[in-house]
Amino acid sequence: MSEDKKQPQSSNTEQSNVQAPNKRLSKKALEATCEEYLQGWKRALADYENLKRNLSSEKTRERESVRIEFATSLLPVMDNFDQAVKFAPESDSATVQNWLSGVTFIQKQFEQVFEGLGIEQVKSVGELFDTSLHESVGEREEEGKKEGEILELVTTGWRLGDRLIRPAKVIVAKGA
Amino acid sequence: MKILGIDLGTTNSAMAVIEGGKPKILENKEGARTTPSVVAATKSGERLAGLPAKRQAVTNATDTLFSIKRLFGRRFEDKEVQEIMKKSPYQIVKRGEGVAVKIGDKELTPQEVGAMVLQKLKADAEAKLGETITEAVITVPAYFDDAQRQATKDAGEIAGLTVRRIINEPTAAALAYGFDKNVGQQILVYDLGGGTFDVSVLDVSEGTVEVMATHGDTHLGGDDFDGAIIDWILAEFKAQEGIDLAQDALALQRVKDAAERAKIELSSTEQTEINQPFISSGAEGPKHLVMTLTRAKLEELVMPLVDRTFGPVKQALADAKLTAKDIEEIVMVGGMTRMPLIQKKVEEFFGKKPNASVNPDEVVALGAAVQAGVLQGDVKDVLLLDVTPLSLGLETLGGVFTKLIEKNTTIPASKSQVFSTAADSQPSVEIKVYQGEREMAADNKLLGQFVLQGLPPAPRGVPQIEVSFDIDANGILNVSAKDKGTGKEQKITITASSGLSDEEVEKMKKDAETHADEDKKKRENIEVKNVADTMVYTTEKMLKDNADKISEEDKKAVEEKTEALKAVKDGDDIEAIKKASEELSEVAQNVGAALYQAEQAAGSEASDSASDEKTTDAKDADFEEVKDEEKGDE
Repeated sequence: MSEDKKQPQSSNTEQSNVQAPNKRLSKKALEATCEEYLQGWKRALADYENLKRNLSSEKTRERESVRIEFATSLLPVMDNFDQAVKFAPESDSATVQNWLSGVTFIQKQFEQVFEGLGIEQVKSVGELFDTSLHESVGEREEEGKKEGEILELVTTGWRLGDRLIRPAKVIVAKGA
Repeated sequence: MKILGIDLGTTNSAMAVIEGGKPKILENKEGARTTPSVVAATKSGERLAGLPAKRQAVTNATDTLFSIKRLFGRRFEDKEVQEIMKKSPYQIVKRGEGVAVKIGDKELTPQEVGAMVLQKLKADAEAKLGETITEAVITVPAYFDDAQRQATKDAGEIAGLTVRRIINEPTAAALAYGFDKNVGQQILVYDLGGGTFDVSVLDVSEGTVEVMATHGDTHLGGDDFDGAIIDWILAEFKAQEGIDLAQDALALQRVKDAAERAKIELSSTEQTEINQPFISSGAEGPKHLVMTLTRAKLEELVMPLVDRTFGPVKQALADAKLTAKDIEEIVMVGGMTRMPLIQKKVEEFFGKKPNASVNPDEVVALGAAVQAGVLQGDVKDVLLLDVTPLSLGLETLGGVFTKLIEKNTTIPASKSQVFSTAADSQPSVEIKVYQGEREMAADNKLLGQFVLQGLPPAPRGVPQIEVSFDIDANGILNVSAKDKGTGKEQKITITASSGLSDEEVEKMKKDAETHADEDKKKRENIEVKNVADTMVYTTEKMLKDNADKISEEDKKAVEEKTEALKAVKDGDDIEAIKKASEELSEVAQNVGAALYQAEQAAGSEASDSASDEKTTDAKDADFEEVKDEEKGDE
């Protein structure tokens, strides 16, 4: 085997001797190709590392989005609960009052489920109006309140950590 | 350096970039895929753009600027400007030939306001991508004249973006679908947005997309559709309850939200419930808004609006000297085009289905990104990555083909898996490497085989043989098998794995498809046989290992069932094998459970005695350990 190999090798050497300038050029070209490949390889590895990193952060975001989507579909129910409590009948009847407190407990329970998912209400009344959390739906003058202070909550806002699911719709104090 | 594709819209804007050769929408800082084209100055002098600006519009109407695109490149005397002035809460003043808008104590040109929206997009894109953006492609309506295009370009420059190109919105939409390659075709773009309707006819020729004609209605859009539903709800409620909800701002807001939700829902369902309890209060207590809206009713309500879009469509076709039949593709743009009625009407008019597969709210921005991609030139393709056309794997127990590298895996790739022996004291394993998609190894192409010898005697399932497949970029496959116990290794290099012609590959894929069901059945049968085989083995082992602990009666029952299974397991009656396996499994499990209980009882007895009597004659090291621990605890 090794005998066989030697022969063509020696003839090769002869050939390359004749084409010496060519060989030098091809060495340069080879180096360039090597460099190109090395760069490409590094790039591919870097791309892969970046992809891995992006994937994990995107996965976290994805999980959050699923929670947010679920919460969003329940928000109208929460709103209507708020509305129902607002419209509570004014009655002294113990039966009515007991029934009502039962309903408010269910409302609380709803909120607790949300809290368990990391979803919290946006603070509003008494706070200063902040466009990153609140949406103004009206304003009025009120004594003793400084301009931009939130006077009334119309629809509850919700957030998951730093992500705002829905701004709180509020009425703010108007400057005199 | 990435070039940002921007759809600067009248009501909403969107942005996209090319990522991995494909356009991708970038979310803004608030996490939304579109950004309101709204700018505001708060009383404290703070500048807002996008969603935050929109959120305070109600209480800061005079300093909140929207629909600013309508003012781009306009002269103060233009009819359009005079009309906007009548309706807009912010002030529009004359500045030179053109106009300026008042915001806070400043006067800004529409370009400067547009720049604030673009700046927000630029900043959000930079945060998202983690790199600086300095160049952009921005879209404009096809009817924009030179002055309006220049204004758009200026807005970009003010925002710190070199505007590499201004392209028409319909052209961008066509680009997003890749229709710029359909040379010789005529494309119609039907764009029904929030507030405006545009229709354009495009002609695709080599290297260019030309707008042949454009028409539209600047005051027809989704808002009108919502309005029709709101009016209907208000009228119905008034008829039912005698209360006009339009008088109550908060109730009206809820009706608006409900109307929009109903409209969206009816794009995918036939009917929807509008459910707003406690919406108002009458003499006899709270009132609930509960009504059903069917798709048929919705379509009846908005039909006049849909019909109105076909005037401009006909006009645009006439201007382009074409008929509906001459249009090869119809592209839908704008959220409203999701409505099934609109798609149906367009299909009826043209006699072909419109293209709506790309999100109609995003298609223009995506197309702008496609144009940006062309301008930035794709990264030099140093490497063209290949894929394996067929799966690669090996034969396992019962002649089953176990795939290690699935077809269409990008190469180079490697994969390894640990296998074991099928018989006690098996001295060697034979590795047969196959290529193909069929379930049974024999139906695939044998690429090579080798034997790994010298395995030390061990019960079946104990030796761990790691088989690795490694296919390099040239399609050369290296297969190695290594006994993890002894470190013995054997390998083979197969160079012919890529030697199949395209026809052969296709044939093998087809074969796999046509035989899929039959192959699956065959494989399942083998699995049943394999399970039976394993069961006979483990049961016999259990009897042997626990000979002294199993009652004669149990032993006899198990042996009987084992013999029954042995009698059928090598035959072809799969149902019989299954039945016999189940029966054996049942009796064996009972015996096994009894054994286990007995052992546990013995165990707890032992540990009881260990702790109670503190005896030292525990038989097992384990028990000794338990005792030590307990001592330590005390």
